[in-house]
Amino acid sequence: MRGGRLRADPRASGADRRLRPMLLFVLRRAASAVGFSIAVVILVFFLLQVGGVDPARALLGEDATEAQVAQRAAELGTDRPPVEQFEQWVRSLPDGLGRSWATNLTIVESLRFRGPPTLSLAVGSILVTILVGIPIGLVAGVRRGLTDRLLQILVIAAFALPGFWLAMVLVSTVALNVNVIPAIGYTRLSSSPTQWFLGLILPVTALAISSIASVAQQFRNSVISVYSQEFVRTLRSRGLSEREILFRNVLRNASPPTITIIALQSIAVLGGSVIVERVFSIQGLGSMAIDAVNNADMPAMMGVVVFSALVVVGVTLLLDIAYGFANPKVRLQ
Amino acid sequence: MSDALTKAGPSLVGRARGRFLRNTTAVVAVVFLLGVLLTAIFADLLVPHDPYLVDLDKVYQSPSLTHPFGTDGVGRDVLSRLMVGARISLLAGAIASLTALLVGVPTGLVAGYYGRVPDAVFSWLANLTMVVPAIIIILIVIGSFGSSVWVTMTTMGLFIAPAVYRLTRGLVITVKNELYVDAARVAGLSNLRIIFRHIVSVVRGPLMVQFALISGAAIIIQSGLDFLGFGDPRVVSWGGMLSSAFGAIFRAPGAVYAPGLTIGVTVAALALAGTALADILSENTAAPTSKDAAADRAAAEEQARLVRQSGVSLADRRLAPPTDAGSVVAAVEDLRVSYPSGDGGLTTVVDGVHFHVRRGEVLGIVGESGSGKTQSLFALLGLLPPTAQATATSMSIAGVDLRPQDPAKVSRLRGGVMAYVPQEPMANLDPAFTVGHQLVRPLLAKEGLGRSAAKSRALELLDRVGIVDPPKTFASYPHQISGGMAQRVLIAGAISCSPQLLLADEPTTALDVSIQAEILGLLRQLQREENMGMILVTHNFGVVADICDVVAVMERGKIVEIKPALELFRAPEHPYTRTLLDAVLEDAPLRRPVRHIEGSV
Repeated sequence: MRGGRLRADPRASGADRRLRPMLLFVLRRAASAVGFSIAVVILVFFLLQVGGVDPARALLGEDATEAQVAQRAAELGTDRPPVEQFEQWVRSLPDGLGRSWATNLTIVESLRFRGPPTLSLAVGSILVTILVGIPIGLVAGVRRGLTDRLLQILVIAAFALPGFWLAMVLVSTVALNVNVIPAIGYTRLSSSPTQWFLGLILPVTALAISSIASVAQQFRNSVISVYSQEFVRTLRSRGLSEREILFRNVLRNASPPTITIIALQSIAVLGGSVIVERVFSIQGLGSMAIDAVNNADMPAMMGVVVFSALVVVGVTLLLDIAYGFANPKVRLQ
Repeated sequence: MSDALTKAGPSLVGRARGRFLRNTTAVVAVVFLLGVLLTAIFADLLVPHDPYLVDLDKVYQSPSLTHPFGTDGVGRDVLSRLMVGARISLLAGAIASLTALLVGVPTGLVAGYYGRVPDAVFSWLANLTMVVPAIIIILIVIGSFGSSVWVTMTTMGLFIAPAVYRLTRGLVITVKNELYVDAARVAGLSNLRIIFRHIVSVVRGPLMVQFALISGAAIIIQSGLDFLGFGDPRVVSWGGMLSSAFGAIFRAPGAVYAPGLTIGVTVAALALAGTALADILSENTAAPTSKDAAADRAAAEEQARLVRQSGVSLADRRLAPPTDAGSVVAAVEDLRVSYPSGDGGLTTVVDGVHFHVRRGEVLGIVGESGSGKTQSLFALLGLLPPTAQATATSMSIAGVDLRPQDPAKVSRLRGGVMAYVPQEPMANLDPAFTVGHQLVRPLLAKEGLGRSAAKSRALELLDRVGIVDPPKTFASYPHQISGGMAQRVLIAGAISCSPQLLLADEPTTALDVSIQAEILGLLRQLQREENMGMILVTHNFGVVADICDVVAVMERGKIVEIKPALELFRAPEHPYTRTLLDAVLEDAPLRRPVRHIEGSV
């Protein structure tokens, strides 16, 4: 399998030869990502079945009679065996991923409302992470010195200080003193792009700091390790300028491990937003998950899992493509 | 081996203790953590006030002597509550990190040691955790099993276990391939004993770091869950304190600092203690090497003393200075290279080296590894590491004086005037770019060619160095070609801008024996066709006899003998040269080429 496909048609045109392995690589990664997501969704579903919490009781509250609870359980199907419940849930998927037991809205309707704030936060944080973390890591790796020492302090601080606490500090310092920046809440992009942007500044900052530290540190380490490789000396021996070596060879070789960290951070940011949203009273995926847990609302919980799995698959796929472009070995295998 | 390990044990521990006490950060972090741990255990005895006592007359008081961290929204003492709250945080850290280690280490050991099926199964499971953020799964588990700290932190531990699994597996795979485990296996030790004796001793250091980091991450997640309201409201916790402080953030904005910074400082102490301990462990393994270096240095000084006593001056062994300066492409007088040594002094690796090379001439530098031959080469190229200190009374390439050490000037000479052929071909091609790209770039930069001209020039060069299918190699990535081909590509790159001087650092050492002669022949042929001066660093007298006109023998940073190759083989003067030659002639496979080539030159 390895390499065989590449050599299958050596007479193919240059562009074709480069694109076809890339396409195969992306398709393979996409297939495995979808496989993993389906496996996780199934596992989570059965995980929800084995616990001791009775959804009907949780939905109706402590005052409901046994008969009422039994009747509700029969309506929801929670009195049936787990495999049948799974079948029932899968059947409900075409109808907007099923209906919430608490609100009777379809899950897609809820996600349409709760998804955008979380996505804005997560995507914004990852963009900020890349735009800030990469330059910091680059300067720290190439110049070392003060930037590097400051980065090491940032890495420890960002690991140690909870993101939601940073969020609180930002609310109590920045938001209470700078009137333009709202302390809490989320404005939809469609209603006011300016307010949307201003509202994102604090939560994105709180979320991004730890990712910036991780990405900068990884990039710094990669840059340093690429510089220690022999081929850099050989490139210098060819008379190429330091600038050219840095911006072409070093950056290209330092990218793959950093891309992996960015992928991991995008998952972490999605998780972190669950808690940070609460600080800023943003009605996003986090509050949907918390409400679903409090109501034992199985379809809503599964909706959150499916949605976050889709986001993660999308992000990792994008980063896989970037990884493949940066690392020919991966692409051509 | 195991005897050696046990014997080394006590002294290793002693050295570790010494190093630990000198590391202020580690001491402070560990002492702080011990303090937190003891406070948590004896909180009931130590608290200055009842952490549960509500006093509505003392709401949100500022820090004072009676309440060093002030009071909370219902007048309870913040310090006392922080002390009691440490319990749940430390418990959370312990549950999560122990779960992660208990699951990750055994699976990693098995997958790394046995490979195949367990490896595939565990790695697949480990990848599952990458699909959904941990907090979402923890929330789901809370929905199903309730929000006890045991449930949430076990889940978190299971979620982090793959990181421990990957780390353990990677370390085991590295260790497994090392010789001493093979030796143990041959000695008939059982598999389990192999795993526990050798592998665990390597894995425990990195795992200690993991333990600290996972505990820290768990403390943060646990307080996050408390903040979200998924904690026991009757139990005092740092997260719960943050939650109630945040509820009144507009009234008392300062109340979030004490619990937040307590979490931050504790987690930072965990991270710092973990990494400091890891550093100490890794320094321990590195320690013997610096001792060896000291022994080397002592031996070098002893050697220098002997040379002085015997009255043999280095000047006697020098070649006469070049008479026709115009044809000299490289000349060095009194080249010295030293590096800062651990104890603040300098270690000299090249010590007063003189030589010169004319156009069309091949100078061989021979010596054992560590004799300074490669360092001399890099000094000429201006490619010594930044820590190196190089001096020379005179040094010139193609008539350009290099002593003023202007990096830009040397860099202009590189590629166009002097070129370099490295030892390890695979490590010297950039894996991220095609062979063609790497050949074309210097042609664009140094020769000012256009893209298509550079490409056809690169194809010509590949053809010239004996590559069978130049267009195919041009489009290949380094990992797709063989070592011999890679060395041809590097030679093509070296001669691409028609240099006057070629510097080759053991160009055949890393290659298959059957290819060595071909590469050497190619170098000789190109050197003659282009009438280049060439300096060839090698430890192989066969190579010297094959293509060198002049030979310099280096020992411990000095040239002990330098003369025309034929003379050197006929009448080696210096005892070290004779030792080296004897060593070659005792080596049966090398004898024939040496004799054969000696006759043909």
